[in-house]
Amino acid sequence: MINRTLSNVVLALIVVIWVVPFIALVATSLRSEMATKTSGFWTSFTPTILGHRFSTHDKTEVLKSNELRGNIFKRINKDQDWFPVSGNIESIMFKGRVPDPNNPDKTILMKKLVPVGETMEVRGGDFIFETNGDFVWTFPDGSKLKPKKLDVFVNQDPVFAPEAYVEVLIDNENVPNALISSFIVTIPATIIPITIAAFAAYAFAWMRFPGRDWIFIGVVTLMIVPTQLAFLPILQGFNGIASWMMALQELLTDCEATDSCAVPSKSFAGLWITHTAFGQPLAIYLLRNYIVGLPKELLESARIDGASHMQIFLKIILPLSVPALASFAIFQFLWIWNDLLVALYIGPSSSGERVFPILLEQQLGTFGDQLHLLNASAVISMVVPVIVFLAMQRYFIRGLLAGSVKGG
Amino acid sequence: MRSIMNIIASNGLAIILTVICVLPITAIFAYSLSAPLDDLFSNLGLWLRETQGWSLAPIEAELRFAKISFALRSVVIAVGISSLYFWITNWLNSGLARVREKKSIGRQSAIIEAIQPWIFVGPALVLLTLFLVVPAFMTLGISFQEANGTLTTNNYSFLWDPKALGYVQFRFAMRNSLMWLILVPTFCIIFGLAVAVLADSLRWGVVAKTFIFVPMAISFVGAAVIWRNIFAGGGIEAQQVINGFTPSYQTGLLKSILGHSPSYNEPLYNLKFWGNFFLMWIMVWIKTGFAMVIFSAALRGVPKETVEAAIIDGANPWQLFFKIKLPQIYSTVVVVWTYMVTEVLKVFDIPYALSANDDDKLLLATMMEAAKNTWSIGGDAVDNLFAAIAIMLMITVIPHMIFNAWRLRKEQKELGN
Amino acid sequence: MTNTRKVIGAAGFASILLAGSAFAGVCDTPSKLGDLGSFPGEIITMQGSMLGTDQEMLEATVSCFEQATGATIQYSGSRDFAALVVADLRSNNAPNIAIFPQPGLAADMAKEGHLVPLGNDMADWMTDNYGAGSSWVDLGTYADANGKEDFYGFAYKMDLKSLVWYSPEQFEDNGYEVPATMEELIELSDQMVSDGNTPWCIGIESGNATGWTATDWMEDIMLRTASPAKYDQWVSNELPFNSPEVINAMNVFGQFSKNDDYVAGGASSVATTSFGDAPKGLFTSPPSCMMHRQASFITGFFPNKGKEVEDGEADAFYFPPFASGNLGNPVLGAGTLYTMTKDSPATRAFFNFLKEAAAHEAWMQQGVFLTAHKGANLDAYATPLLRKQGQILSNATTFRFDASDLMPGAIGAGAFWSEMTAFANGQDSQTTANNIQAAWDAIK
Repeated sequence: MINRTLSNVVLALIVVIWVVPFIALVATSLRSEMATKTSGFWTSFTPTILGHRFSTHDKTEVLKSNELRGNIFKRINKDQDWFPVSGNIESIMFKGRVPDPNNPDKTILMKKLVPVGETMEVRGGDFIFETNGDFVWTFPDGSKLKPKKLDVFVNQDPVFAPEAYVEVLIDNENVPNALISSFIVTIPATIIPITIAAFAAYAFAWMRFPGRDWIFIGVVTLMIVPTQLAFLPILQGFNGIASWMMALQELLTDCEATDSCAVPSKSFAGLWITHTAFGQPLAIYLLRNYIVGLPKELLESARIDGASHMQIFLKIILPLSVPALASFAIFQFLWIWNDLLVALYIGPSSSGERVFPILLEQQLGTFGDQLHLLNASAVISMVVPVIVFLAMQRYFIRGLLAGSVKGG
Repeated sequence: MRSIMNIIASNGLAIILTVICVLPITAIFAYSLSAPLDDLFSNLGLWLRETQGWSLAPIEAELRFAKISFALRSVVIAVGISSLYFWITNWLNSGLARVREKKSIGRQSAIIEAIQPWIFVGPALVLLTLFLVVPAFMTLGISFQEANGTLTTNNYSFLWDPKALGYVQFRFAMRNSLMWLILVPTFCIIFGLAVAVLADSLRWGVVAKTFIFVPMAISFVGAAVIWRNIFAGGGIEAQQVINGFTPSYQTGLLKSILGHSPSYNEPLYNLKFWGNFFLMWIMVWIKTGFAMVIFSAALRGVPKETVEAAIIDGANPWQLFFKIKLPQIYSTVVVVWTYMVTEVLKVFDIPYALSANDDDKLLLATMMEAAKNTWSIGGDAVDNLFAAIAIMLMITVIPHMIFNAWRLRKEQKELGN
Repeated sequence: MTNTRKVIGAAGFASILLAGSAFAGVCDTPSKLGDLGSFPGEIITMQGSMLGTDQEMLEATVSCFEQATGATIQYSGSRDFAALVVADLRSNNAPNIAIFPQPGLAADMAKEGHLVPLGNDMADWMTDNYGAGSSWVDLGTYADANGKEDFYGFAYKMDLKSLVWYSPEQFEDNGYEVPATMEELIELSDQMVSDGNTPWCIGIESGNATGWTATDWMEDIMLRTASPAKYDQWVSNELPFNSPEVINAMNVFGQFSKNDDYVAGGASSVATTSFGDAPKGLFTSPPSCMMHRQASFITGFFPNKGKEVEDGEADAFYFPPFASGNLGNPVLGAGTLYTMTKDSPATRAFFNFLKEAAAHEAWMQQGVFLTAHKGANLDAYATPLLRKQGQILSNATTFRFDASDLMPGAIGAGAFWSEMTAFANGQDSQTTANNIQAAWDAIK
């Protein structure tokens, strides 16, 4: 039984290490900017003693009697829409200059923490406050008092609010644009490779042609080739196509008049084609392995019935291959949605068309000191892939296992 | 009697030529004809903006919907062209065979069967050749040229010349790659095995495994943001309060545990040399899920009899694992290890996002990026250096490629397909 | 949406942007826009280094142009602007407009032939319509690839740098008074230390641009320890960087930044604290520091995005000169230069927009914006503090541009920044000066 406890403890420890960062992410995205700069996220779940400044009354307020009553929390929260402060008042800091006992010509600064219930002197009057924030300030007749700003220490309740999300989604077009761009890049680049790879996979599985085995090995081995190797020529190629298309456009339309001839060489279409090409090895590998696992009798009886390969593929194999297609689709979707490298080199970089990973990487720099915004942006980028992932876990795992585990 | 090979070859050529002529023109037509759809969608976007009261600028709404429409029709056109391809080639294949070999149905079938596989694999192979194979060789060529085209090995001089641009960086990259190679796969495997073994024996194991697995869904950059919260530090330190507390203003979790003061703002991954380990950990955090899944399945595949026999013989859990289970999944461990090695060699996003300009953290992939964008050599000479480093990267993955090819070949022979 | 609007209203002037209502307010200026032409659907791309609140105010200001002409302006900002724009210009990916925070870098780009001349008419207009107009024209005039000089950079939006930010109530509570001379400032700092307070918040981190705040400190001090003529010689390197006057200025800065008691977080935190975070120490409870020397734009980085100034929570005083120096009232400033990097009719119209007083007033109304445009209505300044800054500008006996912005890119956006960072991290002044001089020698 010791073993069982040990197992539980060790596993729990590992899970904690894995999960705490996510908690940090979400917690930080729900805090205020000042909170993220002055304390760590782990302090935001329990009441903590924090300092705030409040002013006793507004400049415009006219004091009628010689007594001012108010509530410290109301004063602190006067302009605070998202993160209201609540909790228990601990103390207020009192500062004043008093004559230096050692040096009669000089003064020293006295700083004292005045606890709840004790009277303190403010602008010649008496100030007393309670734990719930109510305060009373009595001052002599005839004084016209300016508002006084005081440092108060509050045992503050945890407060979370989605201010960062509002700021990042609504006040700024970058995140919504990046979301849309990511969808625009990912969905076609997931669908299109399938139309090409499925046929090839079938051929590698059930058709005979010279060199089939070696070509298949070649195709699969290409999965390992670093894609950076191909970037320079691909970019040159797209540049060429772009100028060719521009020339064509100038020939066929009157775009020169409106100066709209420019054809960008880094575009969504470029990304679709590139990801389609880069995704072939994995797609062919997954699909072919799956098709090979289907019963050969299917093929043989259909051939006997006189069906052509095309008919067998379209009518029998493709419908049966849906699990493998799903596996590839989710792999490809996640891969492209999260991809930074290819998008950086080959995809559009303008602010309206960047995909999310590029935006996030730039925000690491620009939002480096606005952690709440950075984390909110990161959460938004993760919502889609995590949901897709959790929903299609089974197919993802199946894909991972294809060919990695020998036997059953 | 014309030889059958001739007919096959000439039919094939005819098919290829037809495809090359017809498909691009059809695509251009399809795009031009469907262009008004973009305007339709733009107007839809504007209308939605009005009726739903969005706070978007009108031109943004137009642009967005136009983009979405472009994507939609691209998908439809792509699928359409693809289907058109297969339909035309198929039709031509059987049609031409029938026309040219009227007498023997057997020969007709032979012709059709000879060409058809190439129809199926053709597009995939063409794409791969155009986008991976040919560019790879072109990059090789570029790496041996100067900007003006003369042949040279100068671009590789960072390998041997201490005064060459990239010499220092290459040494850093090699040192770091070695560290990453040794540590990241090892820890992924250790953690992956640990969770796979522990989770299978506990009731809440499935939940635990899901938690370990989720990081695989997020991007490397997202992971960088997540771990930045833990590894970064700093914070605005208030002055010490008289006879009171000094609130802890450290904002980084790990630095707080280690007792760093908030005024030392450097994130842990910026430390010289030691910072690398923090970057490596992020990758371990992401990839352990992969190892765990593979090992979980492999462990389940260990024959029950061997396990039961060992338990009867009185083996304790440690012996059970190390002497019975582990040896039987040894090949899986090797597979996971080789996969991790390749991933480590190619890793780019994590060091790029968190330490872009720091030579101390360079890896080959980030070194390439730095060569292209940061080392202002000016002009096109950059591309040649970029190509040379890319080739070095390629060389480091060649062993895995060979191993993989060998493994596949072995499988093929075993299955006798 | 109403809740959001309330938040936006509460968060202060010019901090959040919405289509519709906010725009209308900004473009409602005392001076009216002339006819700029009509460019429906045209897109103008702009690149700059402005982010955060600055970016929002820029986008609101250019929306007036968008509304008047129908064109759309796409602005993309980045802290790594210097590297990005160079890469884009060299790879034929130029935006229409590049906003340079440094004339040095703009001059480099002009020499490589990437900038489009704005024309002599534009230069003449500026000479006539800007205060000290000819110096502004000089600032934007560079040599192209053939050595021919042309007017490329249109100065729009200036920064006043010789300011020290503080909290008046903190000063009142602690019994401090605003110093009128540098000697008094140093005495005040010592007094703060003995009171148990920390006098200064200094932060110079800024990604690839780390160190620029330290260069500002040093330039302000240089103006207070050496004559304006020497300052100009220093900028052109006629006065070597490792000459005694310059090293002296560096050492005075070191007096502030290397003193652990003087700086919140200690001397070692200076290089790792981001410039945007440093002023927040004025406003924590209890405050981390009492004073922060920084240019006028910094209010956008205060916790309440600058509302503290309205509330009387924050104010600025003039960074004083040495009484013993007899150098009058020197003032340090800087400005952004708008250059045309890809010509188009709509882009030319935008530059005409910049000539309009309304374009200046639109930004003046939003917040931190100073201008030398003589036609801009002073009442449009958003706050008394800004009007005060305008007065500091006019009371100055010497006005000089930020030296690091005037030096060539390799120094002003390179060695000067990185060496001052090393200085803040403990390197001694002689070595620092020698290193920067070596960088100068390398490019001569």
